[in-house]
Amino acid sequence: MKNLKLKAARAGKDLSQQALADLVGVSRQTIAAVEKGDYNPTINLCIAICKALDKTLDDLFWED
Amino acid sequence: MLHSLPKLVSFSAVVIALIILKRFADRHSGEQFDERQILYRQKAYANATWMAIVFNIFIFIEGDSLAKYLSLSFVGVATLFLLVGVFAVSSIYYNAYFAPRKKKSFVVLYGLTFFLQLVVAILQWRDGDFLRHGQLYLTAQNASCALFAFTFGIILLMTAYMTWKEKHEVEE
Repeated sequence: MKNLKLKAARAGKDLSQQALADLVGVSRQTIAAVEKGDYNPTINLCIAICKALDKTLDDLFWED
Repeated sequence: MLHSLPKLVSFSAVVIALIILKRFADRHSGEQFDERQILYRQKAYANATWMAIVFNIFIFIEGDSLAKYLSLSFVGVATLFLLVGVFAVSSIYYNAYFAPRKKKSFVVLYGLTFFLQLVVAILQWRDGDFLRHGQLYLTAQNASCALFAFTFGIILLMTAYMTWKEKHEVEE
C-alpha cells in the first residue's frame, strides 16, 4: 500500500526523495520504495524519517 | 587415502580463504549499503543458490546426453559463474550491488575484464580450443574465459539497463 502521508510530509518540507534520503542516510531508491509501499522499513529508519520531517510515527506510519 | 591429502588440504585452504574473503567483503559492504539494500543482497544470495541447485538438478537429469559436450569440470566452473552472475544481476536489479562511491570505477574495471576475456575467448575459438575430435567439447580449462566474458557481459548489460531506467525514472 502506498504511503501517501510520507510523500505529503516530504513535499510539505519541500524535499526531494534524494534530499530526504541524504538526510536519513539511505539511497533514493529506498525512500521511493517506502513511499510506493514496496518496502517495509525497520523501526530505526521510520524514526529517522520522522525526525527528518518533524513528524511522529503515528503521523507517517499509522494506518487509519 | 594419503595421496589425496594434498588435494584435500588445498581445497580446504581455498574454502577457508573464500569464507574469510566473504566476511571481509560483508563487513565493508555493510557500511556502504542501507538496510533495504542489505536485505535484497541476502535475497540475491538465496536466488543464486536456488539457480545453482536447479542447474545441477538439470545436469543430473540430462547428464548422460550432455556428457558428449560438457566435462564435469565445466559443470563445476559454470555453477560458480552462475552463482556470481545471478547474485550480481539480482542485486543490481534492486540497486544493491555497486556502492554509489565505487560504481564508476567498478564498472570500468568490469568493462575491461569483460573485454579482455572476450578477446581471449575469441582467440581460443579461432584456434579450435573448444573442439575435441571435431566436436564441441567444453571443459573448465577451455571455457573459463568464455564464461567470464558471458557473466560480466550480462552484469554490464544489466547495469546499463538499470542506469538508463534510473535516468528516465521521474521522481514522484
